[in-house]
Amino acid sequence: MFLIETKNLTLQLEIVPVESLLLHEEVIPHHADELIFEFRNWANLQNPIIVDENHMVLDGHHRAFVFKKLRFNYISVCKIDYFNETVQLRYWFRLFGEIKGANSVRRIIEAMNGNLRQVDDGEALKKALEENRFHCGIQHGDFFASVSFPKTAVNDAVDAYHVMERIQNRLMREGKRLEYIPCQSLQDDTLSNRIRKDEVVIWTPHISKEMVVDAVRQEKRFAPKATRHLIPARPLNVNIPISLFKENISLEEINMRFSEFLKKKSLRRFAPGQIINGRYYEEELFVFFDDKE
Amino acid sequence: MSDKQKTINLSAIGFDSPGLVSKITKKVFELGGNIIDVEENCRRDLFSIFLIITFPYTSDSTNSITDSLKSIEDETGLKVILEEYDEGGGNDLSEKENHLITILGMDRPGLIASISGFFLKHNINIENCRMIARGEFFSMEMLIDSMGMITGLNLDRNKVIDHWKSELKDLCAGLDQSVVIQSENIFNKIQKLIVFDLESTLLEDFSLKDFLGTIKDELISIDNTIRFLEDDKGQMEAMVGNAKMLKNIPVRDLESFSAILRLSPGSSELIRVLKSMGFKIAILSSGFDLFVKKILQEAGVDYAFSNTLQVDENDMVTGELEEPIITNDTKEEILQFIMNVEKISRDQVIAIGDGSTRSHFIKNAGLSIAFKPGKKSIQTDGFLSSDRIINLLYCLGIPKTELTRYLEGGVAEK
Repeated sequence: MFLIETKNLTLQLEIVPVESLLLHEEVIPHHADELIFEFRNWANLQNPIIVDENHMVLDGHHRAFVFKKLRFNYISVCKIDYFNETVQLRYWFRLFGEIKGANSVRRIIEAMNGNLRQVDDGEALKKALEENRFHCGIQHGDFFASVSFPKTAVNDAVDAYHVMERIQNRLMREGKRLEYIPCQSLQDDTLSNRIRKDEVVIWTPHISKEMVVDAVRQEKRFAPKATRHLIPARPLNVNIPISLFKENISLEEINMRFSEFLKKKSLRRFAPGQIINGRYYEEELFVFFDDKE
Repeated sequence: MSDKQKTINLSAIGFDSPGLVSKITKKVFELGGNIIDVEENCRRDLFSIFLIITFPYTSDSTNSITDSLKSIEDETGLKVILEEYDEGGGNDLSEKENHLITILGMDRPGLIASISGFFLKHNINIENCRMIARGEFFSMEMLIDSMGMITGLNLDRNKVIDHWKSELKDLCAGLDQSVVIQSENIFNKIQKLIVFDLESTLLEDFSLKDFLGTIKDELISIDNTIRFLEDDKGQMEAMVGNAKMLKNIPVRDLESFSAILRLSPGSSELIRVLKSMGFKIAILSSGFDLFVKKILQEAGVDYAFSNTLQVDENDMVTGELEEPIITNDTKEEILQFIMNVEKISRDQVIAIGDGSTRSHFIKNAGLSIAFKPGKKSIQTDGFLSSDRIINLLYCLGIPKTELTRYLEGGVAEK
């Protein structure tokens, strides 16, 4: 075990059995296939996946899924306290392009016995979704509507996401272009202004950490790209050789080796807001590297 | 000609036509010759070839061989010059001291004469010379060997090299040309990382001016006793030193100012081409993340580091900075960090800044280039004096035609 103490959160780096991982959402098949191909050829796992104390995956579902699929024995994780208030839960909204009007979305929703209730604006839609946890929303230009489904179809948050996934799949079958966008980016004027006339945004249902934990307890999984966990600090560039994860050794032994491996490396902290390996990180970073000079 | 040596130099020049190389080499083969060195060129319908040929197994005399080779003239219409090769006459191939010189600027008569005259004065041999771009804009690449340069007695060789490099830069500046000098240990290495100092290279000057003007107005409206530096580019660092000025300003207000900042023309294309060539790109900024994150994200680079302002729970700036603070002095540490992560050496790094104190870190890179340097610039391997940051590509030897193809045809994203 290797501990990194940050201002508000402890990052606990260790190796756990792949079988102990609990996934709370499904994966996107073609992303998983790409990753399977890459992991067969990669020599190292660059970054650990992020899990809670019970090994529920918070960030890294596709890597966890692929490790299970490729029958690895172990995986490196960064364990955190999920209910620490600095760990935030956000969602991915769906932006569909090449849509002539909200009517095509309305038609699909009504065919699935859904009910649209128009609201005044984005603020009103946000409030409606906060009050009705299993509702989703539609935004097309100045048109905002809250969408609900009968209880026979939606009993909990997991159902709500699966129904929304069905709407999404219908639109994609009709050739509409899909882009996942962070929910809070709609508050960013640049993105709001960027949404074109032929684009519709589906606001996904609000879920809580408790709902995520409940879903895992009931062995249910949300549709892909349901949660977006904002973790205030993250370890990067651990780069552990993948061969280690296939070794037939005890958990104690592999953790001892992992800890020794990390101790040999240097660690540098960066404030939030840096780009590393082509990705912008809003969180505090702890980057491992081998000292050359 | 002596019969002892059966090694012959063949040079041929004339108008280009299909099959010339085939006709020449077939003749060599028929005479039992073995080609040990070759260089062939076509320029604007003109053809030239240079061969060194040995005849190890033939009993024919050298005169007889050269007579036979001379018949190539009749078959090809080329002018053929033949000479016996004197192995002791040239420099030992193992003793070379090569440098690659790239010269860029607006074309003017006498440029090549001035520069080649400079090398003659120092007894430096020009081994290869090629035009990268010609038109209104001129770019030329010269491979030189300074092994035979005049050093004088008891003078340190490296100091003499530094001296002529400095003299060449002065000469080019006088000719209104930019110049970049890469010594052999650099251009023979596969360069992997290009690091830019944001404020002095990639940011558009006008947008930086506008941005600082807007920020100043905002701050003066809060406190009219605040004083600012005259130097625009230095203002970003000055702001970091006075982050407290920004206390209690909402984050969204500061972020909205960032829309004013733009990359200079050609910067996005430059980054795109460099990435397609396999380079990793890093940008170091002494400014605030809130201001520069939009353009850094849009630039699509591999690494970008800037300063982060602390923000309270109400999304107001506290006036404090998050550690570690990126200053002119710590940029060198960040560069070292990137090299460690990428597992590369300094020789594999190209760094570009204006050469002022804000970009002193560039001097430790394998190849340091000062972009629009001021009078107080540090010593670098070269400088680019025009506004076009994309001219950096000529220093990497990309010919104009290739560059046009990259830019017009679009470059596949990696």
